[in-house]
Amino acid sequence: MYDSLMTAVVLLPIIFGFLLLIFNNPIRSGHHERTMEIVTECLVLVNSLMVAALIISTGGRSGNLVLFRLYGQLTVMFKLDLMGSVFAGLVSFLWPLATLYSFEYMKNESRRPMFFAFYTMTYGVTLGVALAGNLITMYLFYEMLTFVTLPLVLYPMTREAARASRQYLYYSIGGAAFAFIGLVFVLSYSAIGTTEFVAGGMLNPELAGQHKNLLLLVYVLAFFGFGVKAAIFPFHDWLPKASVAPTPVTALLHAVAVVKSGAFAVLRFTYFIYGTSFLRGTWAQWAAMTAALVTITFGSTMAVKEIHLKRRLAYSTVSNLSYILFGASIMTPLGLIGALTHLVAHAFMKICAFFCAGAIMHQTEKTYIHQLDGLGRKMPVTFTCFLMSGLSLMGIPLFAGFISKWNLIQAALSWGGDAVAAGIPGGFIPYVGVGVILYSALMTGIYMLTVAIRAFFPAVGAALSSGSAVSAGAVSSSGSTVSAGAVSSSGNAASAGAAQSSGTSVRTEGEEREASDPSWLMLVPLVIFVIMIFVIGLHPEPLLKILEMIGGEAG
Amino acid sequence: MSFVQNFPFFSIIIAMFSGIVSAVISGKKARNLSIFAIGVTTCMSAAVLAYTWKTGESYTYMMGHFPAPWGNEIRAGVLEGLTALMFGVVMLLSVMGGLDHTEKDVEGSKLNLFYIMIDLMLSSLLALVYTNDLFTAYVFVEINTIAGCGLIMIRQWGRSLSAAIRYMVMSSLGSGLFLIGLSLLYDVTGQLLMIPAKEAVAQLAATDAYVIPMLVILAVISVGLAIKSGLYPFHYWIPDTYAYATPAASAVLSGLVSKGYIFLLIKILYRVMSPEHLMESYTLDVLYWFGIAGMMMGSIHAIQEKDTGRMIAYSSVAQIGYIYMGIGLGTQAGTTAAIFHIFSHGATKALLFISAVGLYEASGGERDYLSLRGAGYRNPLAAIGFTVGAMSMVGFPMLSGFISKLLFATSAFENTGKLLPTLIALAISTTLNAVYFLRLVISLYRPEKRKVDEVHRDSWNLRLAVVCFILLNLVLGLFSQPIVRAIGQGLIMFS
Repeated sequence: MYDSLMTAVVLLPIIFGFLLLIFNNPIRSGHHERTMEIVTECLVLVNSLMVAALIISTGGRSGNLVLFRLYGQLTVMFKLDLMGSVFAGLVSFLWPLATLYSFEYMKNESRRPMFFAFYTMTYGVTLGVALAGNLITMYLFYEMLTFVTLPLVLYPMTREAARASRQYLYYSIGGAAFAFIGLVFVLSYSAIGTTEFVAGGMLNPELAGQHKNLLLLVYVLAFFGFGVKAAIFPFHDWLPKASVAPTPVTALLHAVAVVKSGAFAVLRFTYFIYGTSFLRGTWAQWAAMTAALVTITFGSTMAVKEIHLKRRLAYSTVSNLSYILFGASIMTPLGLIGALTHLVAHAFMKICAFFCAGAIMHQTEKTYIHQLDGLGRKMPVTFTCFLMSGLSLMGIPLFAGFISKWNLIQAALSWGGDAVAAGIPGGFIPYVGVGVILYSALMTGIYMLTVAIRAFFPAVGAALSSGSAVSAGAVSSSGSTVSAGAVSSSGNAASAGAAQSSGTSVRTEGEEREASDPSWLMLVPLVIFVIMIFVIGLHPEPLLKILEMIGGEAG
Repeated sequence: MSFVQNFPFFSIIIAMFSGIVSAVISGKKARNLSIFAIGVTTCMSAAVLAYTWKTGESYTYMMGHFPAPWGNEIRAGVLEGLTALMFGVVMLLSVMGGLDHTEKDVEGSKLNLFYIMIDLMLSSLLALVYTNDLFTAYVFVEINTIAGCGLIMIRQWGRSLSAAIRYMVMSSLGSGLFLIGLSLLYDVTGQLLMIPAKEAVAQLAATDAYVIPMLVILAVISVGLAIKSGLYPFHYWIPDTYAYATPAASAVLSGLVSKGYIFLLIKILYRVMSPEHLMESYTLDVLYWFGIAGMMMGSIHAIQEKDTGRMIAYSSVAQIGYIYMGIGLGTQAGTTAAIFHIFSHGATKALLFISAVGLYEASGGERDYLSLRGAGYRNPLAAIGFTVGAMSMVGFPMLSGFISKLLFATSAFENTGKLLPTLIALAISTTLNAVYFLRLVISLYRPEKRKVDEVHRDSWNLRLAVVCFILLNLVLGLFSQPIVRAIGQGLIMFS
């Protein structure tokens, strides 16, 4: 039973996407777009329900399902385990909501069938990553993910989008090429002759012991290779650039599906292929950990510097993804728990933040942070959600972010203590990691809360002379179109340096429409995400229990 | 003796005779005859493959029943049958795909000349695959060169003429060196048939005589064939040749011709030379490092190239580098990988050339990077073909390129000194491939500012060829195991 279910959840969205692509023209010409939307949403929902059924009926553990043989020992195989269930469950929770959101967001765009085709295909491919039972299957879906999401980054079809998508492609393929080295090595040094995931590692200890340094080098190569998708420094640059894509893509793919597939792959590679006992305390561990810490620092610092809202959030993603990688590089059960907690928690926080940014863009066409002054009073729900996700990202207690940071810091301290006690060189690095996390929390506070504060409490004096005068004028409800027009044009003059002049007319239109909270299609997902942040923050035990089981097996 | 054993000889002769007959018939008839000949020889190769696979050993076929020192020999095993089959399939599809262009590019009265060249090319390729005699190999190398030149030149266009001259000069240099190597070998051993020559060489190696001459022979033959197959740094003739010939010729030249020489080189290295000489001379190491250099430099040149045809051609330089790297690993697994890559690259590169034609057609005949923008909407099938080819080149799993990459990587494990260089070179080269191929793919799917006119529909044969090539790629990518096993089997019965 679970066999067909596992195949179905992966293949259904992919096949559906293909069908949408094939019937692209009839859909557009026949005004069947509304039907297409409903069918898409239903399919995504059904798929999510199937994932839920799969996880519940198997209890998160299924047998092997070999689909076909690629070559020799390389079989394409699905196998659900607890870690895969967590990722698959997360993804299948988010996808229907994100699809709902994107209907509203993409309302006025052209080429929508194509967009939804690839968007839905990505769902299947991401589930493929989650369900993969061995390294080669994961590699296959990992590569596929690159190609399926490429059209989504390219979607705006501007020069900027083309450049971003090229960069994304080069980085991803290059990363996969280095991960491929890891794959080949694993195949040669495997204790079981295949590349199947085994909790606690599957390398042949004797053989691996002989070439330890070589294998460690390969680990580092593969860590960075898979890490490219998780935007590890210095291969992070594609992520902020890729925020030219429509917001549903940035939110779901570049905060969850794609980038977390990268982090997930690193976790798999560390805990289920190499095994932590082989790696713990070696230079490879310190190399990986240092890279993660540098990325955290770099990402959060750059986020403060960035003035474009979506790019700022993207930099924040860069730093937060490295929290997960940092957890992975601690290489203890606690580290895995911390990493997975952050993987789940960050998904809700960041998708929420991005959806808020998308809602703002959709309602007001505003993309820069200094344009947001005073908007909070007109879009209260949106900005409240944004504030919540910001607080959570900082790691304030009550919110989900606190749980994950707490777990990470705990893991770092406990392993750092052990390492120092055992006299392993480099044992101080986990302590540095704690410092970095605290620093990053401070930076997160700055870059997230400044946005919220600007929106809710525009600086009175500055507001009148800067671009935000519009909103101030609107709030004081002087109301006449003449004054609104006049104010907005002066606002444009003031902010001409930052804002694109071409946006003028559009923006004026947007303001005349009266900025307000978006429709329920957008708000429902937002509110659900905020609720989830609180649920995880206040009642994390069920999640932690599952994660502890994973940690117990794989650590 | 089974009747099937005659097939290698028959197929060479059929191809040759159809070339001769084509001289006196009209272009259209020559075309049909040529396609028929390719089809028949392909079927025969398949029969040879099946026969040798069943018997499990290769056989030597004496021409006219003259025994060893005087007679001429053909030797067929699984590997030869498989290679001949693949060459036939790629050739058939390439000729089919380029059919209309051939008629457009080639003057009507000279159309039969083109097909004469195709026939001769086929015959010489088959001869290179099957022959067991060094001098016969030389003769067919020359026929191959001339046929190749004809194929390039027949499109009477300034650039293709200069390309043909360049090709002629470089190729003659290669054949000359090859001939010198042969005559030296004949001088030293007194043999031209491969098996007796091997015995003589082994004797020399055992007695430590003629060490330097043997070294020279190896070097001269390897360099000669390396020039002819376009190994970096002897690749200067490649871009123009492949880019400016008519599409069918481009596909045949890039997919097959250089591969024929490589196959001959593998044959000489393993069937004539003794392992001692090979190891002592460092020939393999030299080939290995030049192969790696080719992988890098070919891709770097390709990145700088704006013209699509030349870009694909430079990519061939890189792929030839892969093959030499595999040979240079010096293990059976490495050679297996190299031979598999010969097949996979043949299928992929021909696909790229043929589908690129469809894209040019849809872009008003322009072929540079910028003009092809949006061609994916004007000619969807060709763009899909090109995308599949490009994805295969960057090693997307399930396509043939991935299996090649995997075989190269796993075979490197048997040679610890070359393990890391091989793997790193593969990774870097994959990334570089991604840069130039996928850049173009993205560009294909970026809509243009000017309005998209009618969706361009290619003729049925081009579309059929593209679809077949895509399928061939998938077959090589998904069902590679029997093919690789056959190559391994063939290599065992090879020497």
